[in-house]
Amino acid sequence: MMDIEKYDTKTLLLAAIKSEVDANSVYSGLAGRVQNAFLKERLNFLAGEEDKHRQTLENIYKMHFGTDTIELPDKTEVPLPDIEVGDENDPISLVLESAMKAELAAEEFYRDLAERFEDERTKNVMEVLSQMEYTHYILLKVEYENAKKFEEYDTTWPMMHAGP
Amino acid sequence: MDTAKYELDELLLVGIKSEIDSEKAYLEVARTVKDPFLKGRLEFLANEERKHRDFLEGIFKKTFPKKGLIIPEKSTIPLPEIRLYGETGSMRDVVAILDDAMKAEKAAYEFYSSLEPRFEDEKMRKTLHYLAVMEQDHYNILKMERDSMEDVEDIMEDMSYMQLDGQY
Repeated sequence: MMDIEKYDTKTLLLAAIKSEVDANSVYSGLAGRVQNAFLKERLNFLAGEEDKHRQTLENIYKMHFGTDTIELPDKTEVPLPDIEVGDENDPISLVLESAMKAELAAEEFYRDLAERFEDERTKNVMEVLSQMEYTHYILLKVEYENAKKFEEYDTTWPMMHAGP
Repeated sequence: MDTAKYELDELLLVGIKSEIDSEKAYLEVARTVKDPFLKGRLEFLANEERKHRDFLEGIFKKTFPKKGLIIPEKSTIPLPEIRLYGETGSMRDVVAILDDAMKAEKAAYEFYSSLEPRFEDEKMRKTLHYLAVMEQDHYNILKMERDSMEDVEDIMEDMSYMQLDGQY
C-alpha cells in the first residue's frame, strides 16, 4: 500500500512524470536487447504509452500550475518503485517481474492521485491512466510466464523471430 | 470451440485469414479515431496480429511443405467477424466495433487453444499457448477501452489533455 497523503500534488505530479520518463527509457532499452519479436513489439508499445502518459501529465501540470516550465527532480521522495534492469546476464524474467511490480504500483498511485483533483475531467484522466497501467501489468505477466517456460526462448526458438 | 472435425491445413489457413482480417480492421479503425491512446493500441493490436499471421504461415509451410498457401476468400469455419460498416455504408460506432473485436479475440483464444493438442512438439504447443494468451490480452485491452469509452471518450479527445507530439 503506497501512502501519498503527506506529499503535495505538485510533488506527486513531478514524481509521476519522472517515473514515466524512466519507464520509457527502461522499456526502450530492453526492446533493443531482446530478440523475441513479440516481446520486442510489446516493449516498444509500452515505451510509447509511457511517453504519452508523460505528455498527458505534463499537460495536466501546466493546466493546474499555470506554468510552461517543468523541472524534474533528479530524485524524488515519493516511493514509486523503479524497474530493476540488472545486468545483461540476468534472465529477462527478472526484469519483467520488476516491471510488473512497478506497473501495479503505478496503477494504485494514479487511482489515489485522481482523488486529489476536484474537476471531474482530470480525475477521469487519472483513472484512465491507472487502468492503462494495469493493462501494462497483464501484458508483462504473459511475457513473464512465457519467459519462465522458455528459459532460452529468446535465442533458441527461431519462429519467435516472426515478423518485420 | 470444436475444431476436431477440420483438417489441420484448413484450420491454419482459416487462422491466417482471420489474422489478416483483424489486422486490416484494427488499422482501418485506428485511422478514424482521435484519441491518441486508442489509436496507438489499435495499431499495436494490428502489429501483433501481423506477427501471429507470420507465425501461422511459418507453421503451415513447415508442416505442409508441398501444399500451396492459398488463403480462402471466405472462412470455412464459423469465426466471429469484426464488422466495420453498417447498412448505410458508413462506419459503425466505435463501441459496436470494439464489441465485435472482443468476440473475435475470445474466439481467437479458443482457436489457438484448440490447435495446441494437434501438435506433438512441446515447443510448438507452448508457443500456441503463448499466442492464445496473447489473444486474451487483446480482449482485455479492448475491454478496458470499451468500458472507459462511454464515460471518457470526449475527454480522451480533449486537446488540452491530449496535445501530444506530432508522432502520435
